[in-house]
Amino acid sequence: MTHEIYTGSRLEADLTLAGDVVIVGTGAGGGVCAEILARSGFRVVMVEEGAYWTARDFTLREVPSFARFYFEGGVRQTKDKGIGVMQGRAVGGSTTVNWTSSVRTPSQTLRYWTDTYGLKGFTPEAMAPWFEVMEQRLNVHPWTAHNENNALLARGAATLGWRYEALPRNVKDCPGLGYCGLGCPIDAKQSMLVTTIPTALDHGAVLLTRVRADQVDIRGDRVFGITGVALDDRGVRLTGRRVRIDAPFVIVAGAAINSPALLLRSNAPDPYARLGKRTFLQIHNYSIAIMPELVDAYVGAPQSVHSDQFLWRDGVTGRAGYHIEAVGTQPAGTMNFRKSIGPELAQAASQYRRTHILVSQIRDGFSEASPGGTVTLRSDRRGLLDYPITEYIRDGIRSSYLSMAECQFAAGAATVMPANMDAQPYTTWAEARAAIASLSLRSPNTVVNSTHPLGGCAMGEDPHVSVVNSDGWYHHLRNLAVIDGSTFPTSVGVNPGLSIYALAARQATTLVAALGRTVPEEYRVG
Amino acid sequence: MPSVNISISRRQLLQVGVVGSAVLSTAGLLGGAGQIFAAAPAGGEFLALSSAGRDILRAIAPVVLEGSLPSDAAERADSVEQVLRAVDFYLAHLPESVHAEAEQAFSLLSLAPVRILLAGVWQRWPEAAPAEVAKFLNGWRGSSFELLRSVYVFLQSMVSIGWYDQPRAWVPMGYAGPPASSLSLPLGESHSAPFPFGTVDK
Ligand SMILES: Cc1cc2nc3c(=O)[nH]c(=O)nc-3n(C[C@H](O)[C@H](O)[C@H](O)COP(=O)(O)OP(=O)(O)OC[C@H]3O[C@@H](n4cnc5c(N)ncnc54)[C@H](O)[C@@H]3O)c2cc1C
Repeated sequence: MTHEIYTGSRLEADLTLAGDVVIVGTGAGGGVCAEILARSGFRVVMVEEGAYWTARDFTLREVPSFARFYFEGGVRQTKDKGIGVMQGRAVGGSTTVNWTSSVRTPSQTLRYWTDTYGLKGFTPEAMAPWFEVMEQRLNVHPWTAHNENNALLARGAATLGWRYEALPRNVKDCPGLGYCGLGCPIDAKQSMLVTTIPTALDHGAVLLTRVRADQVDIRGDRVFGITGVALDDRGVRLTGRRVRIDAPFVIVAGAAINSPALLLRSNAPDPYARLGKRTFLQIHNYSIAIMPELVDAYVGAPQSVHSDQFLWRDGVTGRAGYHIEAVGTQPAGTMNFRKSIGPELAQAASQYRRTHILVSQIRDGFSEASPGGTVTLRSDRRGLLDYPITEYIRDGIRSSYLSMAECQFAAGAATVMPANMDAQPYTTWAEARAAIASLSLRSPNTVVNSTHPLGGCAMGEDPHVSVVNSDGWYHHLRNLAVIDGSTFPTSVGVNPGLSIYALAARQATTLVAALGRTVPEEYRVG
Repeated sequence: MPSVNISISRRQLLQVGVVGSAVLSTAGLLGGAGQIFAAAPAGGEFLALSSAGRDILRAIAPVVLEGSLPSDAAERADSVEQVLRAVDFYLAHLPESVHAEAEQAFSLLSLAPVRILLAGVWQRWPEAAPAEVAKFLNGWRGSSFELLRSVYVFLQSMVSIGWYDQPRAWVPMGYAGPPASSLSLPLGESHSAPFPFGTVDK
């Protein structure tokens, strides 16, 4: 079958195309939209600033993979450089490099969205069939072959009497190579790269790679398509070629930071200055244990157990809650958690195979003390996230350091150390507890990052506090929708992938119906 | 990948305090930093690392990796070059503004007053004594100035990422490397935009 694909870096002249719908971004939101719309008979044009990397490009080497498949090498920095944000930049977006944990949006989150932002169609009951549809489509199923890294989390949690459970994964015939974050070289991961995008192409969708949507073309309250700029092979420089795509409907699905940035660049009407506000990170912080026995955390599904013991501990709007997961990491990433040098670094390397890392992700956005960050434009027109680490977040970091250390000692750790340059390895839980209580939390010593940026184009029924409505349609434009993680009114509280897939399935089918076509059978619910 | 803080700007360096700003302003070299950067574009086969950056990395890598590098002199030297290659490749894929910031950090560190008074390294980087370099790194690591700690983290991160991505680094770790599919591709090779489904490339 012939697919229509244009590679921006190789364009020898400017390009003009037309379609029924332009979709900017081919990740979780964009991929699902592309399949549903293409199968409904629309001519879909997908615009992606990453390249079309496939199985044979996934060499599983860290430096080239982070350089090629991630925005800014995987460490897109917040304004004060305090936090590194990881986002995929490739055909398939972050789904090409994500870790496949596929968990439904917690009902607490959905209820909060419904009650606080007046969202329609997001009750746990209304969303259940959408989760089912996407679980079916992406082969989400329970995962039981936990590696030692995850089994240790389960054991620690069980010993302490914490709640914990297995995470389902969206994989097919997965032997657990353990390198999901570097791309799947055997196509076991059912990311957008191997599912919705090929299907959309089969149904006549057009794909442009290495093209960055620079502006949505807006006149009055209507959009007319997009203007894009072609990037070179490395995705760094503009080649000077421009792309123009005329279409009567535009879907923005570039992910948090990028989607609000595109709309800001386009001077989209924003009477209440909501664009880019309330951007959330579910900040990740880490605890490193050395176990007496081999862990080999780089083999097997990286993340297949989580504990939500502390997620809602103080109520939905109370103190910062967090969930805890295990981290599978390759050597360069693992050795970089410690920021140590010389003999200390060499010793850490010699303990590599016995290293056990936990991560806690702090849900943000549910409390007035947690308003998230703000995206603005840099001078080079890229998005820039300002996310100050507040007392609320600090409280979450300290408290989760304690929980993770307690869990690792309960699982038998020889030493535990928060990923914090000011910390030491502690040999007992009592010692760790005392030290962490007074540990200073400061940049850049406290290692924090995020693989879950969300928000910035929040859904809501009140345009004073939101950007798009419950269907993803822009409040102040007639024919533009935002359908990706940027529309979440708060963070999720757990890994957001399945939440975005389900949201996109719901939004795209609503759009198909609104535009007078028939929704493909597999995507009909109710 | 954990955070690599590329966080330096002249403005920030000035905030380092009296000592730092006195060094920079009395030396009158602030304009010079930009010139060093402009005069030392990526040379040879390097895509992104200037000669200033290469000098600094060659001086600090053996110190950061003390106890980790192979003992054979030729292998050691080669390992350090591999680290530089990996860092270069990585930087070359960052947005130009970020890459320029990293380059600015290198340029500032190579200014004599900064090197001598702030880092305490007396000889030029290629001749710097490892003991002085170690003292500099440990000093900045524990500094009360966030900026100096950030530069430490940046340098440490670049070297450790560049090293631990190399098969040679895996031997003492007892790590066999990623599953076979993969080690064949040299770092610099670009396989972008394959067309797996028999596609039209216009
Ligand atoms: C390393 C990593 C591990 C993760 N692990 C998990 C996990 O195990 N489970 C889970 O649930 N979630 C996980 N996530 C998160 C999840 O993958 C993301 O939340 C989700 O993919 C976001 O979907 P999205 O549609 O908002 O954006 P993305 O999937 O990030 O896609 C956005 C796409 O838009 C493109 N784009 C942006 N701007 C433009 C523009 N102007 N022009 C053209 N193209 C543009 C980008 O290049 C990108 O390809 C992980 C993420 C990362 C980075």
